[in-house]
Amino acid sequence: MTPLVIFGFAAIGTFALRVGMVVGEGRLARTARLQDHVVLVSPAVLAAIVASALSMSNGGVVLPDPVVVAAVGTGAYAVYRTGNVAASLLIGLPVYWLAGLAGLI
Amino acid sequence: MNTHPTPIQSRLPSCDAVVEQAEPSVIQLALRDFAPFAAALIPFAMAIGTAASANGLTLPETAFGAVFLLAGTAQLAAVELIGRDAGATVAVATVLLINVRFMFYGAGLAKWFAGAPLRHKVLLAFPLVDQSYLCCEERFTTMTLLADRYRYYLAGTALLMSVFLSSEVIGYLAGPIVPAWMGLQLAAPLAFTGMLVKAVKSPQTAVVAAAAAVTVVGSSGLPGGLGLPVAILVGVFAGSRMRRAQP
Repeated sequence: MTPLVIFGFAAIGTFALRVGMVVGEGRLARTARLQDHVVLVSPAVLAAIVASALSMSNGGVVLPDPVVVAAVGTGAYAVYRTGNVAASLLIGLPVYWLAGLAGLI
Repeated sequence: MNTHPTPIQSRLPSCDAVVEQAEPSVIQLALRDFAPFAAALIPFAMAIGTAASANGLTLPETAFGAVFLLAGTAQLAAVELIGRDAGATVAVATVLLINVRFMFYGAGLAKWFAGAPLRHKVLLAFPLVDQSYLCCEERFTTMTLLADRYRYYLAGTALLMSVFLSSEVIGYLAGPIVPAWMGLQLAAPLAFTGMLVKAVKSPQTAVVAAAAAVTVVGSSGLPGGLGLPVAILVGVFAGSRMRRAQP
């Protein structure tokens, strides 16, 4: 299946999620049990993607590149300190560049 | 009495002008409220564009995803899964799992536009994203006129959509040109890391993140990119078990 078709199905499903509560007047969304679970989805998704980006290549597990780990770790610390999500890129990428200048890559 | 303005008075704005400046229009208000969110979107959307280029997607496919999916995290996850040749079902299921939060935003939209016709509400739901939900939920506590709400919502979401799409296209085009030492392939993991740090707000969310991270690595042998949705479900399950275990 082409990416266009995948995006198409995903877009239809996502629109259905957005509009479902509009048509249903938010009845399902008011259930506390569902709300409790949905707030947990974001950290799960993000952690899974970051972990797979760091330690997986071509479908297999690899040892994380220390330079990449350092860049990501510094970026994470910058976000923690500043509260600004963009700080991970603004700090993490220069760390990677500096490691390159130092001949570590 | 001399009613002609002095040279200094003539350079000062009139009272009417001052009042106009002090009370921005609804559209100005929307642009002002949404601007920080739009600015924060730029590096993230560029990271998605770069990842799409690196994973072999064409520019029209990337732009299609940006416009019609209109959900950055889900689009990036889909791009990564497509790049790994995961099955279409897994990619679509993962996107829907990530986007399930939009149900709640839809409930918010139904409340904000309670007096609007259903067909309007259905159309307004299309560009509903995290940023527009946050802005509107706060602003609409004081903005009660339906017409104002329409203008505010449409102006804000138009700004977000245009910034998101243009940044993705720039990221896509710049990705292959930028030399390898600049590490643009790191842009997506870094953007996600930033969001992850913000998302982990409690011991419970930390457990969720740890469980999902360990599971995605441990389930690398699963076929068709199933590891990602499985890791999400395991993370959510671990978090809900922890909540239940708490007194």
